[in-house]
Amino acid sequence: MTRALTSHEFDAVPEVTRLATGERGGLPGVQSEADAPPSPDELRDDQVDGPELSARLAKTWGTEKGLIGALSTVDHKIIGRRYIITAIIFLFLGGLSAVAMRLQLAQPESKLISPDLYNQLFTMHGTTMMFLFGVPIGEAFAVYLVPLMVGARNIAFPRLNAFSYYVYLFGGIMIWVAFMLNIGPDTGWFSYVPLAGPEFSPGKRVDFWAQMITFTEVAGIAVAISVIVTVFKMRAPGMTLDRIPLFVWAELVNSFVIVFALPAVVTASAMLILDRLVGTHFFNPAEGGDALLYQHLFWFFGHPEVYIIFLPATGWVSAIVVTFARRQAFGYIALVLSLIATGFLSFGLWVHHMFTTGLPQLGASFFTASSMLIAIPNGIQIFCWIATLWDGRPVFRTPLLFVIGFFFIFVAGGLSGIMLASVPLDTQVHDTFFVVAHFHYVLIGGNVFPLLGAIYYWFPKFTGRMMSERLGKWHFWLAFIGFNVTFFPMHITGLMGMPRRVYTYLPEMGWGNLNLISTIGAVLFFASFVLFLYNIISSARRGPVAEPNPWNAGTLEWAAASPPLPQNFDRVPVVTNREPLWANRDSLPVVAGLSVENREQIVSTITHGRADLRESSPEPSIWPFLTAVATTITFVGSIFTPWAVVWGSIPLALALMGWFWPKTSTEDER
Amino acid sequence: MAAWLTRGVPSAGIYAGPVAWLIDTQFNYAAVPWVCAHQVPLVPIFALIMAALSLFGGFLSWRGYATAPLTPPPDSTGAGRPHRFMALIGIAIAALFTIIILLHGMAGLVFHGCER
Repeated sequence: MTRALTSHEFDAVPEVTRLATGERGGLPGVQSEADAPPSPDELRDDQVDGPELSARLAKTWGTEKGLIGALSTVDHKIIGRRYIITAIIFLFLGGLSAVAMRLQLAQPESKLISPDLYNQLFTMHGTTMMFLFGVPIGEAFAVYLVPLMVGARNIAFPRLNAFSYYVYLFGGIMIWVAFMLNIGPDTGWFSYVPLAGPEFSPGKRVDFWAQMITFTEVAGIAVAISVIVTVFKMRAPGMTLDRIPLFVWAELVNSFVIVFALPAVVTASAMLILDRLVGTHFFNPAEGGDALLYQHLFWFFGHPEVYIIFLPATGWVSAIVVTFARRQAFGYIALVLSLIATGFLSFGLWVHHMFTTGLPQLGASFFTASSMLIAIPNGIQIFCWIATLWDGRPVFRTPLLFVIGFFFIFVAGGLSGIMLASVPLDTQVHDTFFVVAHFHYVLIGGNVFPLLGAIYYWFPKFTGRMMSERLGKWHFWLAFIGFNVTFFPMHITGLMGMPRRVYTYLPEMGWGNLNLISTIGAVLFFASFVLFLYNIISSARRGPVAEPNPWNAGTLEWAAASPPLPQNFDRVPVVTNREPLWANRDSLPVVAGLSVENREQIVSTITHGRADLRESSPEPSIWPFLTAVATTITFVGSIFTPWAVVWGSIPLALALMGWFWPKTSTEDER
Repeated sequence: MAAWLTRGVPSAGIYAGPVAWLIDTQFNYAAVPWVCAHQVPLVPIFALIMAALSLFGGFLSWRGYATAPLTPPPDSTGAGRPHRFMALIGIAIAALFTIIILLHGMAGLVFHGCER
């Protein structure tokens, strides 16, 4: 499957020469230790081959057995798999809370759920779906797939990546335990002040919400930084900017949006918790604060959040469409342009969530304009995908079915979004079920359907087994019908005036039949997820064994074994095409000369993807886990006393000292 | 500077367009009370300046496109011209954001700034 470049080919890929010969490179006058010639004592991958090379590299890059080994791992695939599974568990928990709410709303004046529990349920549903599922699932796929797709052996900053997972996990567990103890947040997923302030929400419920934000945002930013550096600096030689897979572009833009958007909500939640616990008055107008400032800060994050959820899905869709259309993406440049434009534009729409707060119409009109024009890049993407399918030879397997479902649902959600960008219409339907229908069409259509397709698509890579096609098709139709039966009637209930976040309604309102239909749809949608879960478990145990490239796809992750070995690739590939496996069907050119005994990676240049340096990748360490534990103690403790920040900083400092203590291991000696 | 204008900067449009739009959004949003009080058409004037900044970024990208090598490296079987790629994206993004900035400016022609 692979072949090393011969000497005459070195001229064509000059950077490879340095790796094989140890010739010094880099910018003139800027030489580093990483440019030093390889040690003659060190075994390199051009000196061994075949199974021996695989076994030695697997030992070098592998994870120790046992609990300590599991908690110390820095393998992006293990962390990525944990991230994906955890995010999907939160998807199920969020879904169950939605089913409970739908059962309550199935008929007027239902007594199934108390108003207090209902408030907690819709808050937990929104919070879980947005912070514990929506943001992490895109990053989770990036953690697993981006290093494989760019031909790297691990993600950049792998210990930071491990730390982020534990922080995310502990934050999610904290808020769900709080909910189980009847101290779950109850002020909505955005916790507006003054409702969420100390005067109207005494107790600890909102504090748990605010601190959960801190957990998930720390985790989200950490992963985003790892992904950005991986994409910019760790691409395989030859992977120029215009050969980066569309999935990787989507994750790169998504990571930038995360880095710039998430600090706003961390600021908002930190100021909220200070108002509640320390007695500051950031959001208290009576003392010179500003309640609307909270909304600005929240939505400066909150609208990009929609695209943080959507952008990774565009990557999944691009990967699936290209593979099953059997041709390269139509309009690669237009697709990348759309991703970048969407990423920027997402930061200029936030005020459309605040059209009913009494802003001047001129001010609101700027955001109407931007909100309407973001339809242009998103429309371009849809047309490019359709053109790819139109001009290809599409094979309608389960992943592609979910993508087709995405087209219908997301476009419908986008159209109602254009309607809501208009101030007069938004004012009429604000806080009604019309808005609920709109954003579920956008978010479930724009994220969950592509996600389900992505799971069917990459399941063979994750597990080494294929999922059942027959169950997959049943799953798709049940989900597609169930979703539309649930959410389409909500447009009408909203236009009839039914507000969001009410635990019940009177029979005279005339909303009963439509609500009953929505609940029947929700049960169907729920059943589709039960079928999905069964398919996952049964396929993981008894599914047909998958080849490395069962879909005959073109990107690099399919060159690795299914599931991939710890080192991902025995030799780092050289990329000469956007779909390297289609361009080199018989043998993939590779780089030779990297260490076998040491975790050595190639660091490449940003624009041309030229191999620039050899760099060690960090070895497993327990310190990121211990740092996450110390962080959790500090964050949770600070809900109860501000002194927890002082005392908690001691174990946190100790853990960080352990993490960054100079190493005696081979990684630094070499 | 002259060399800059001649050779261009392939990625300039990617930065100039969105930055001009962000400044335009922030400035105009903050200027609404002043526009209402003084009835000066500041919004369209500022939008024109920012549109010019965005277009200048697009111009630099276009120069970068025109001067980038035509052929990919000899080892390539597809793509491999990242400077032309970035330049094309720069031109398109500058054009898109120029349209959005001009649309902001048009709002200043429709509203006086005092409407609630």
